[in-house]
Amino acid sequence: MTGSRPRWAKLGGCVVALAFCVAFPTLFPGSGVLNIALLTLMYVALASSWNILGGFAGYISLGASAFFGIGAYSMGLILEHLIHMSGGYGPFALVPLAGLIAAVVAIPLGWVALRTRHAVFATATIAIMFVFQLLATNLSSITGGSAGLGYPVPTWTGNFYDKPFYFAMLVVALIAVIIAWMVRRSGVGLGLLAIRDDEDKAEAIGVPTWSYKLVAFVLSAFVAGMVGAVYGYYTTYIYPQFVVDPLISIGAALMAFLGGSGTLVGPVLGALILEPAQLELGFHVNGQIYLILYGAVFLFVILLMPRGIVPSVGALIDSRRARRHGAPLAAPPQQPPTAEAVAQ
Amino acid sequence: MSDDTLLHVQSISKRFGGVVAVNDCSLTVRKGTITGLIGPNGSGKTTVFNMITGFVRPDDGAIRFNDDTIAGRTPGAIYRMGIGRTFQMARVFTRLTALENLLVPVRRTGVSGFLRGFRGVGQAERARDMLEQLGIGHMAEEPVGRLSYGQRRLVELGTVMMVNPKLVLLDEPAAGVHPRVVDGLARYIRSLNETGISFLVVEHDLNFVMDICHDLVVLDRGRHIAQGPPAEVRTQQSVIDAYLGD
Amino acid sequence: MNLSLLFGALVLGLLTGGVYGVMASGLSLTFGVMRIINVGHAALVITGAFISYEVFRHLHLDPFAGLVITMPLMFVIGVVLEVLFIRPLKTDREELSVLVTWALALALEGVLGYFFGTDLVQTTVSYGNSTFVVGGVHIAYVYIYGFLLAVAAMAALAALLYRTNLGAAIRATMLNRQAAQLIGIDVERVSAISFGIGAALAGVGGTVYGIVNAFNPDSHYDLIGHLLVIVVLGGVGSMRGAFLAALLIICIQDITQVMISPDWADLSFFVVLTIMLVVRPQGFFGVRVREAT
Repeated sequence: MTGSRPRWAKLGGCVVALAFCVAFPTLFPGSGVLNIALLTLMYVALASSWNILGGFAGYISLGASAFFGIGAYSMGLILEHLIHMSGGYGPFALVPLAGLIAAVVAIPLGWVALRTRHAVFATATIAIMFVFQLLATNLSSITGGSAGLGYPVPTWTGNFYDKPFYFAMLVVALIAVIIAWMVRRSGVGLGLLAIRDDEDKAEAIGVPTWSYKLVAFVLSAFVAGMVGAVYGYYTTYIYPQFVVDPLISIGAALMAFLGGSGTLVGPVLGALILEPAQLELGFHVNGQIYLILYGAVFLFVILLMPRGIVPSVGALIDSRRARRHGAPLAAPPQQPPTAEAVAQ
Repeated sequence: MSDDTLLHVQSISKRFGGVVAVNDCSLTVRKGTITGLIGPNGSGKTTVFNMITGFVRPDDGAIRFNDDTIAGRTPGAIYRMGIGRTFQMARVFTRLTALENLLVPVRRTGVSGFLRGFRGVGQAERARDMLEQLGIGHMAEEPVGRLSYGQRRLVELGTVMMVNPKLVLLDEPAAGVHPRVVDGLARYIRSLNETGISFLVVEHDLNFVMDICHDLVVLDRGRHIAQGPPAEVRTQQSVIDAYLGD
Repeated sequence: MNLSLLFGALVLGLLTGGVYGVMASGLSLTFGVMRIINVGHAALVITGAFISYEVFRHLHLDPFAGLVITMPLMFVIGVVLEVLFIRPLKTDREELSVLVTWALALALEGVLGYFFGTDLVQTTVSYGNSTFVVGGVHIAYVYIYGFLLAVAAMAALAALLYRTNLGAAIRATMLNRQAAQLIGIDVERVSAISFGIGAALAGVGGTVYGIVNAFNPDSHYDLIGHLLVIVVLGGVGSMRGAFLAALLIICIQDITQVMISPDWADLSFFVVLTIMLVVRPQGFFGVRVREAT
């Protein structure tokens, strides 16, 4: 918990970062670069929202893939059957709706899944993902099955193509980070952190553990749904095995861990580092080696840096600062700390 | 239930598989008192605690707190009724700071909690005061994981006290505590008691118990064998037998 | 309703369910001893399938006989994986294990693909295609052999757990890891051995799987969903529960497949899971634990 830097510095940093993001397409107009940036922002959103349940509360969920898919399919199906819009800026207005649909679906799913503890919960989320992949494939009369589902094609093309999607993803990423920030500083956030440390104790002192976990689950689903919708429109054609892909949740989890689960900056940092690296690697290396390396990096991060970059760096800074001032970090254990004070 | 009885435990039992942990046990805690719960190892003290605080459901019997039935409620519900508890191995939230630990039970909830953050008006000050009183005010911003065991115990106690409980169950508060500090701890508990909080204390340190308890309940093999003022109880033959016997 | 068809599906379900039961019991064992969910268990099954396939191809050993090679090899692989990648997990073991084992699954998939390629293969034994008919359903004789093997494996597991000192140590660790440590059991060693046993059981299942199905490194994806559901249904930590749950759920799946449609057969799995989570989240033989020490 490093709360020592002044707030305006943090705020200033955010504004600068945001300005950079907005200016990015103008600074780096090549469409290849924008594509990478867009996908990175996608994972900033996914990792931040995954972190709300996975990092704050310690409940590993692999359901993001399912909600990503639900968002993508919802948007596609609405555009196909309900609201006929030609490709343009109009469909973007449906993105929050897609998120909402995912969130609503998440409520009963979370209701049931959160009745269990960690390991079984993770299993339940894996099951949720498989179910939606199955549904997407089998309900072919609605979803087009493995033949996929098409979106209206946007009216803009060429070098300009990525730009609107970039900004759409930027907005979603912003929303994701803001939601994570709001949760973190709220009573719900404190409760989630307590759940991570000692769930039974948290419950014993009045934290409504199931409710809080459900809130986190639904919020994550909301963001994942929106991301999926933007992604679906971006690719203009979605297939079940690509939008309901376990690697989406796994990737988000890995990035959150790398950066520091439980922090706000962590998932963002993790996404900024890993997504471009992952994309680059994918270009140069064949499928099998890619998997081996991916697994290896994953293992490396979790086993050797379980707290992630941000907390580890923070701890390093703290200990350097303390050593410089020559004072120990905490009162030595032998010292009876209360005899005098308590006697008052 | 008589007027000054705060907690009334009546004939509760619990078996785990083939083992009978608690067998037809009864006890009373009167308002404003510090009652000790003692007995040899394995006499069922912690199981009784677990039943009172809702972690374990009694197989038989009844538990009443101020005329309300407790048995069968969840730990959270019992906590909200005004019963707090500490654990044998101090349970705290290690990744939160001491201050945050104390704020968990009184965090701002609901929509305003979302909009304005979890630090309720005045609560942070109350928490800091509490930590000062406990002698660990200087550790307020430290993650509890860095604190010593004795300090964690104090954080745990502070967390319990933040909601002004009427009854606090202490599970071996003196265990693992430096002998010099035990006196201070006893005095702290007594001072809290003087503000009207009742205590039920499980403890092996008999000096500690004799020092602060108004009332003693002795358990042996899951059953109560005596209840009364310490001076009386310690002379009862059944008690002596329980401690010295087979 | 065609009753004989139903009966045929039931028989098929029981026979294949036994094999899934062996696979799932390995997963349950790992959870019981180490309290981790090994999402890579299916990858281990496929690894076993590949090993027995290669043994069959190069040594011309019948896969069932080849188990004398496959099983020990899988055991060693399991122990090595546990020591290298799971033992170092000190904090948040339960949660992180899901991610770690998934990473292992990915890496395993990559390794298998690298060495064996991604083409579909199958351990085609000469008797692989002879079938008999029950109620209008064709059932390969191999399924019977597989089921017998599964039963033998479960019996061996039970013997190990209940009649040997190692088994006692394993059971003690499952009941209460800390207490087991206190009475002198080397829980780290027990964990490694249990993981190895789990891998060996996966190998047994994989051997049969490889005879009956075409597979490639990617096959673990579908399989893991099934195995996880079976384990949750049976109650994590209960091998008996895993075996019974496997029989039950595979029967349901096969009946659905035969009587309704193959597409929905997979879904029946998850319907059962949902019902279970609502009604009895701890599974058939699991226990609801609230830590109150």
